[in-house]
This record gives sequence, C-alpha cells and structure tokens, in this order.
Amino acid sequence: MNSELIQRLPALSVEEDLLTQEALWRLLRRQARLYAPESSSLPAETAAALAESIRLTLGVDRDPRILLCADLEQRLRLGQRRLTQKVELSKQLWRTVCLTLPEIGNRSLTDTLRSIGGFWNRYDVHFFAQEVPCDMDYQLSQPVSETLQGVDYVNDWLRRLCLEQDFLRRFDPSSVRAVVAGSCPDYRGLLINLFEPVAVNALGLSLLGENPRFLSVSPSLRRKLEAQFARLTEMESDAALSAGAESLSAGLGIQNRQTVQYLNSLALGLRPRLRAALDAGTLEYVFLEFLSFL
Amino acid sequence: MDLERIFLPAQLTVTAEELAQSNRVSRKFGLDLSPAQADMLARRQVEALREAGRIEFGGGILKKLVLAFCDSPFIQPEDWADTLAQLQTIFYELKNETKDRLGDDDLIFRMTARFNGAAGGSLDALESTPPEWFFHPEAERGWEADDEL
Repeated sequence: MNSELIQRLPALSVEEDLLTQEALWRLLRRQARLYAPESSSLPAETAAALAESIRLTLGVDRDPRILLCADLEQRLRLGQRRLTQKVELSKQLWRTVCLTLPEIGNRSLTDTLRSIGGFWNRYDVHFFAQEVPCDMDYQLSQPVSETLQGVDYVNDWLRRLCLEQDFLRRFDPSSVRAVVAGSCPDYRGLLINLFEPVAVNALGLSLLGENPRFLSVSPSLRRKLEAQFARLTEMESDAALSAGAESLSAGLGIQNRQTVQYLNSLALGLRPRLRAALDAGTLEYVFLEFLSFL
Repeated sequence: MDLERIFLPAQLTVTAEELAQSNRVSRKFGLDLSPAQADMLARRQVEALREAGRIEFGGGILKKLVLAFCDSPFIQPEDWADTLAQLQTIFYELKNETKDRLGDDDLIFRMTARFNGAAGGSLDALESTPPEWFFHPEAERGWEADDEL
C-alpha cells in the first residue's frame, strides 16, 4: 500500500477497530459455513486463510474502514467478481506470453508457463483468493512484490515477463542465444533469467553510444566502460546508468513507459555489480563478448 | 485477528443456551447437567478447541453430543459431565485426524456406533480407534482399537 496514502488515512479509533473485527468475523462465519456446510468448526489455519481471502477481496489493507460499511456481503460479491475479471486478464496475459516466447529454450520458463496454464482451474476466488496455486520457478529480472497475492501476483508476474520477452524480441535470436550462452552455458536447464544478460549487454553498448542491437561487447568497448565507470562516484554512476537506460529505450524504439521504467530499474540495480567487478579489475563477466558464428 | 478475544464471550453464551436445550432431552434418560457443569463444559470446549487448533463458528458441538450419546447404556449419570467433556475433546481430535472429510453429524454418528459397539463404552477405546475406521465403520472387525488388541 502506498505509504503516503496510509499517512493520509486517520487511524481507526478503538471502537472502530472493534467494529471492523466484528464485521470481519461475521463475514468469516458466513464464508466458513459456505466452505464447510457440514462442519461447525474449522482448523485455525483454514479459518485464517478464509479471513485473509476476505481481506484481500475487500481491499481491507488499502482501507480498513471498508469493514464499517453496511453492505459488506454485496461488496464481497463485487470483489469476487473483480477477481474473476482479473483471472480472465491473466488468461490473456498468459496467451500473450506463450505466443511471444523467445526463440531460446529454458526449462524453468516452459515449466512455469505450463503450471500457470492450470492456475485458473485451481484458483479459488471465493475462499482462498490470496493463494497462488501454481509453481512459478522461473526467475524474473525484477521479482514481483511479495505484498501482491493471488491473481494480482500472477498478473504482475506475467506483465513483467511480457516486458522482458517484448524486449528480447527486438534482437536477433541467434545473438540473444549467444549472449545468454555466454552468461550461462547450461541456460536451457538452469534457473536463470534470459532477459538480464541481454539487457545488460545492450545497456553497455548504449552507454558508449554504440548500436545496442549488436549485443556483443568487444574487449576494446569493455575497456572504455571500465575507464568510464572507474572514475565515477555512486551518484554519477546512477545518473550515467539511468541515462544509458533512456538511450537504450530510445535506440530500440521502446515507448512503453513500463518497459522504460523496467530498464531503468535494471540499470540502477547494476551499479553494485559494476563496482564489485571494477574492484576485481574487469567488467569481462558483466558485459559479454560473443562470436557471431555461435 | 484475535478470534478468541472477540467471540469467546458470545460463544460461551450460545453454548450454555444450547446445553440447556439439550438437557431437557437428556434428562429423560436420567442424565442431567447442573448449571455449574454446563458452565464447566462450555469452558472445556474452549480448551478443547485450543488444543485441537480449531475455530468454532457455531455454538459448539456439545448439544449434538448430548443428543447423540444420552441414550447410551454405558454412561452413568454421575459421569455424564466428564464423559461429555472427553467426548468433545475426542470429537475435535477426530475432526483433525479425519482431515475434516466427515461432517459433524456423520462423525458423531460413527462415534456413537463405535462407543456403543466395539469400544464397549470405553472412552479410551474410542479415542484410540484408528481414524480410518470412521470412514469405513461397516468394516468393524478389521479395526480393533489399540487397547483391545
């Protein structure tokens, strides 16, 4: 939740706090009866999961005062309908991701997409909306916030993967394969991210004013990068990396603000790695060279 | 969310009311609960739930246990309150052990069958019955309680 928004919301009084808890209990009791009509009790962890689902569906973390509303059951139904619509969106995102898979095999990516393909059959909007009933092993370059739950988590994950794949599709597949193989020879079998080594190399070339589509960073270009960053402070490095990300986006014709932001975050996240590599004396393992016949 | 803190007082009241209702039936079988015993049972329910790690959304299970067990030939009037206390503990344990796959009524029906049948009125024998028995009570001979072997 946005911290500024939290600050703007006045805290609940003691009386309001009790009222919200009682309202949540009434909804929980109703949900428990629907979930297990033949049992008057439930394991505590199941009850807690049902309560968490109610909170997520109503958006209680954003605004606890929603529990003070008179029409809570109606709001819960509306929330469930909203989640159902989000599930439809996740299907669309999943289809897009499957149709735009990079021409480079990676087992964890295909396994993860296969598992997400069964997500909507296992996802329980009515009782366990916070759960993510699928295996998502593939590592994104920038992980989804752990505060997101259920279908919100899956959709954000798929959106990020869409951005990464859209980026990769702007390059020659054989060059992409060569950079990824240079980063991790067993790129097909290991849990690695396919986007990051390509984006880092493209960023390196953009930082030097070179064409990012070439992807390969030759030793002479790498030495220029080493010389450039060796003399920069942290703040200057951040500024240079940000400018490089802007330049990369412009060079590839990327106009989507989310992708531009994603690249900028990647660039800023690269700074500690650059610093460590420079301390070790070379950026050879950050910016990779590959031979074009690969 | 502290469920106990919010709902315990209301739950105790409901349990006491339900016990008063079921007491009218059990009395016909010579099994009567005093107000103090009803109060004790309501509080033991809270302990049983806590020990079993369960949350009760109704008034509890005591009323159903009273109505199901009050005609058992094995229960003595002087043991009635303690028997009920143990039965509700066993009930919540069995809910967990059978992974909630049996509804309350089904489980109580099978508990009475076991208690009045092979367990011979022994709460220990009932408690040590393998959970699988409750899914297949018709296979009575194959499921002897541990303490009967």
